[in-house]
Amino acid sequence: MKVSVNWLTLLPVLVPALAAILVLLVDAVLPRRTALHWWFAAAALVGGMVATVPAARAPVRTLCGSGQPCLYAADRVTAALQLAAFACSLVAVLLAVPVRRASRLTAVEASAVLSATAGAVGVGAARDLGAWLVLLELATLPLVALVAFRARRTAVDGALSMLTTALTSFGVTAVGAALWFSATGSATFLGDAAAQAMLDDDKRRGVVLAVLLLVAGVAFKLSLAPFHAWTPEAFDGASTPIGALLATTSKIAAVAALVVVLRSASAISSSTLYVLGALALASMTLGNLMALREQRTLRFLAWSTIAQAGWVVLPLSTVDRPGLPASVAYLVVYAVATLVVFAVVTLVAHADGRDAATDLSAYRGILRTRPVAGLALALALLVLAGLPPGVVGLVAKVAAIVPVVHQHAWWLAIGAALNAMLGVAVYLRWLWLLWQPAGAAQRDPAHPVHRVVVALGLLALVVTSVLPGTVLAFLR
Amino acid sequence: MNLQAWPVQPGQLVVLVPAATAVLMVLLARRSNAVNFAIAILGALLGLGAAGLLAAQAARGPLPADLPTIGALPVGPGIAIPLRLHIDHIAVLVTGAVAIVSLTVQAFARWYLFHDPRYRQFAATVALFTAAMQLVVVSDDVLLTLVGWELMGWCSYLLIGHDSEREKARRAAYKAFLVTRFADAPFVVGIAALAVVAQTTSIRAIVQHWSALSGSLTLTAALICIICGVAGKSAQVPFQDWLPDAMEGPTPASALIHAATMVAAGTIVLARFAPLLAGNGTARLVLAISAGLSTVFAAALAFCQHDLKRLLAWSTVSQVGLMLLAIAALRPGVTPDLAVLHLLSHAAFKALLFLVVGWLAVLTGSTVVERLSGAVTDHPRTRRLVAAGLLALAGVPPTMGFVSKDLIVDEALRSAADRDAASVVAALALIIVVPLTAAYAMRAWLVLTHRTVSERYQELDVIDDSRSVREVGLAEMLREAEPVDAHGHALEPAPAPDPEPVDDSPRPPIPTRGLLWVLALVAVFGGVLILSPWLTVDYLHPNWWIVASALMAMAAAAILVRAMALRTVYGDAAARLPRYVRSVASRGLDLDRVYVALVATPVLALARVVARLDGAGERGVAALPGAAERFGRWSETKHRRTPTTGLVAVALGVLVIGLLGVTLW
Repeated sequence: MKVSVNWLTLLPVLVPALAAILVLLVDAVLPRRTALHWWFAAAALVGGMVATVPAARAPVRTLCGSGQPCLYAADRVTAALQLAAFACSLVAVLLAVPVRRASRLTAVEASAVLSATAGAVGVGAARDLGAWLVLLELATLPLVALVAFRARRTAVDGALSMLTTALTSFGVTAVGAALWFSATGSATFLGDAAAQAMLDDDKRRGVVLAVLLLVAGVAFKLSLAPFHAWTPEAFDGASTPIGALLATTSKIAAVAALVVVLRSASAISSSTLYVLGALALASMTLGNLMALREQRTLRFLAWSTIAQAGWVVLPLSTVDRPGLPASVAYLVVYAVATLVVFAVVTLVAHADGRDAATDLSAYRGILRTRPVAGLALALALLVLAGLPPGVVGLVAKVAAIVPVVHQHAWWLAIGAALNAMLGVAVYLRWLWLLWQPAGAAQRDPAHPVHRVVVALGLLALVVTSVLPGTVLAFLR
Repeated sequence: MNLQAWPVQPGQLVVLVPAATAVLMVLLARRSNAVNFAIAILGALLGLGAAGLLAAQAARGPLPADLPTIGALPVGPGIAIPLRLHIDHIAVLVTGAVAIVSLTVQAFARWYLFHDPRYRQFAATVALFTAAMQLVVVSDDVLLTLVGWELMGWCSYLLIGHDSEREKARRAAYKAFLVTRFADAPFVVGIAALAVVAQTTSIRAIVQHWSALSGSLTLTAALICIICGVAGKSAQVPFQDWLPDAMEGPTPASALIHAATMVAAGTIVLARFAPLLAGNGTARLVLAISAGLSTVFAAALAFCQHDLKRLLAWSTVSQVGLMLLAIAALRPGVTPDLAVLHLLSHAAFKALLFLVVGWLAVLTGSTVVERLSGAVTDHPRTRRLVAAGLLALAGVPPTMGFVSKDLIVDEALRSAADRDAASVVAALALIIVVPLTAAYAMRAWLVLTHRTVSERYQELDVIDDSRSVREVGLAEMLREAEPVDAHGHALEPAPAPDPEPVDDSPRPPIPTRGLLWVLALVAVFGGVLILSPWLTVDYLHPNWWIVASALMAMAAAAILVRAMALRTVYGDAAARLPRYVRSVASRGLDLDRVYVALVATPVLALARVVARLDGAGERGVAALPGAAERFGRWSETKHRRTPTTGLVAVALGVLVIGLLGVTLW
């Protein structure tokens, strides 16, 4: 069988993958050069971003066999997710540049970030069951290593928790994949194999169960309740740039994987998709309630991530057409706001020490002591809460609820609305501290790279809040 | 003078001028009562001028029947809201009456409330009230009618509760407001139903649309709803009880509310819908029963009242009932001009009576029988005014009251001869109420002109004098005796005899009295209005038997009352009735308690249920943070920072999701 390969189309996956290998080669030639590896990784990520441009313009496909459907396909939504994954990794890398660490590990870390990014970028475009599984794991397992590299007890605990859950989920996903193959007779997510199987009474249950198991496997990566238990541990243990990576790139990979499954299984009835809605509601509620109590910054962010993942999945639980763009838009808005929060946390942690940044009370009066960082943090929290002047957060929340309302799934809509209110309470708790009078602690100047990242993040939040339509318009 | 070319037509001015007056009074006259009075009287004069222009316009030729206000409301194709005015001959006459009464009330209020600290608010409210009434009169849009209607409700609340430091006045104001509000609910529903089905709020268009469907159940229900609202504002059974209590307001307010405006507004609204009523027997029967009961019941209660102002209040209920009976007995194709004629005559004599009783109250200090007994005799200036008002009220020929009432009786009996159920009820009520009206009017006259009280005062003076003589001792008498000469003549010239006593009791200024005289003249001679081409009234073929028997019944009632009044202390015929009957009647038969039992108690019980449910909900909400806190703590213990619990959760989650998915499918 002859397979036609268009290397240019494959570039978004190839660039980070090859760069991951190159970093290790460079390290072998020039050992112990810390900053070099990070800048190299950053350059590779920028290159990857450029490589997504063709797919953003028009749908592309490659790896097409003779008479076989193509195994790599990317359209506008996929390209947007790829772009977002590159951008998030880039920010995480930039945040990591000034952080001191054992120089012998730098290359491995940079390589792991790049390979995780390659997985995240590839999984959304993969139409082949095997590639999908492998890329999904490629997006996960390096992160376990990255968490563990911090080499503290909490980090090891978090990594362990993450690893065990990841392996279990992989098992669940593999069973789902096997069921999919046996029910549809196809090892790809292409064509109407699933729709055909749904017509057959014997195979219908198999397809439904396969989809649900695949969803359950991905839900671990999205840290939807009840697959969320690893999240607070991993966030608390990992260094903050890695935390940013966990909170954004990893989530983007999961959503991309989920979109592939749901698109191919579009014949599945809405009542089955309501299972996804129930997961979303459970995540929001649990995340919000736990975040209300949390005093430690990183764990707070973990619970916030769990709650926001519910919002990302909410519109996917409908068979409505605008559900997918709404979900991706929410994901993008969430990623930008979360990156800004992580950037501020990293900035404070790098300047004043990690202990000064990991308690919420450390941000008391930050609007006076570090005005730009404080403003960025405040705006990001407002966006996450969906409160003006963080207009873009509000728009994204409304866009996420609209498909649910069109579906007349009132229990879901009401539950989401209640959680929106709860979410306001969650973020106002932190926001309130920013205005308080500051303590008399010594403040060291922040690293210029961190400053630039935070300022750019603030700019991004302001621009999107002033023109919230642009985020949604890109996905139409 | 070409009125048609004016940018603002007189038909719009009659509403705009009083409204502007009210606004100006609020804006300009913050301090000075005098400035306030100037604005008020000027505004009222201009308002009268506008009504006069309207009349001139009507006399000259065709009226500009259709006038715009603020332009149609753009609300889409479902319903048209043109918000226009409609001037017909009825509107011309009624606006004139309202303007005259309003002017008189403004002039009288300045004298009556001269020392009142809240005179300014009162005058402004009167002006606003006038504007609201004029709006209802000239409106051709149910929305405008509703605006005027509600505005009158609010203004009546303010006017009745003018003496808001008094508990009774506050209570009366609340009561009037609540009762009319209660009745307004069905009114709004009825009007909305008519307008929505007709897809327009124009009254003429509504009437036209529904005339084709005259038998429909919806129309009957909507008309009965409107009749409910009218009964509330016009204080008809079963909403009659607020009006006598509203006498707590100052007398000018009573004259305004109960003569020409609020209670008469119902007649105007029903007159606008008269073509629909005429074709709907059920609605007319409901109206006839309510109005008939009111007119008889109120006339009977009026006779028993201990307070003459309350007598007038009950007589208002009775007289408005008469107007509504005229509408209830309407045959298809007949215009409701008789009701309007009686509205005009009632406006004249009732405003006159209220204002004169207010004047007498200033002189004697109260309006109860004991105080007012003989007041007219003591203050002869009021005699002719009172006589004119009471004669018109009783319907003695040739007063306007006689003309309007007799024509209604005539019409109702004619209709009743056709066995029309509503007309039969109306005729029965009218037969009873004619002598009753004469009876209570006679009673009031006898009380007011009673002589015995003044004679008794003279006797008291004599007794006082004699006592003072007895107390003087002989020695003192000698010592203080005036010096005399040898012939016993006084050394000093005797003091000149006392000059003729001057009646310097307080009285309204001459222009105000002049206005009262205008009202009196209208009350007496206004009957000539039937000759005008503006009213289509059949006055050429009266049934003389009916007229004669009505007069006989009135005369008999008057003689009976005169006989009852003989040898009573205050000249009060009602004193012959058992004390129990009088006291219950003074309290309006204690119907307050029925209101409380039928409406207030169930509503309060419902409110308590709602409050309890609300409290439960509130407690539930208040418990939520605690529940969240407990859940968080419990959840924290389950997140034990070891992989095991996470794995258990994952396993359970997979199981649940699988089960859910398979079963939901």
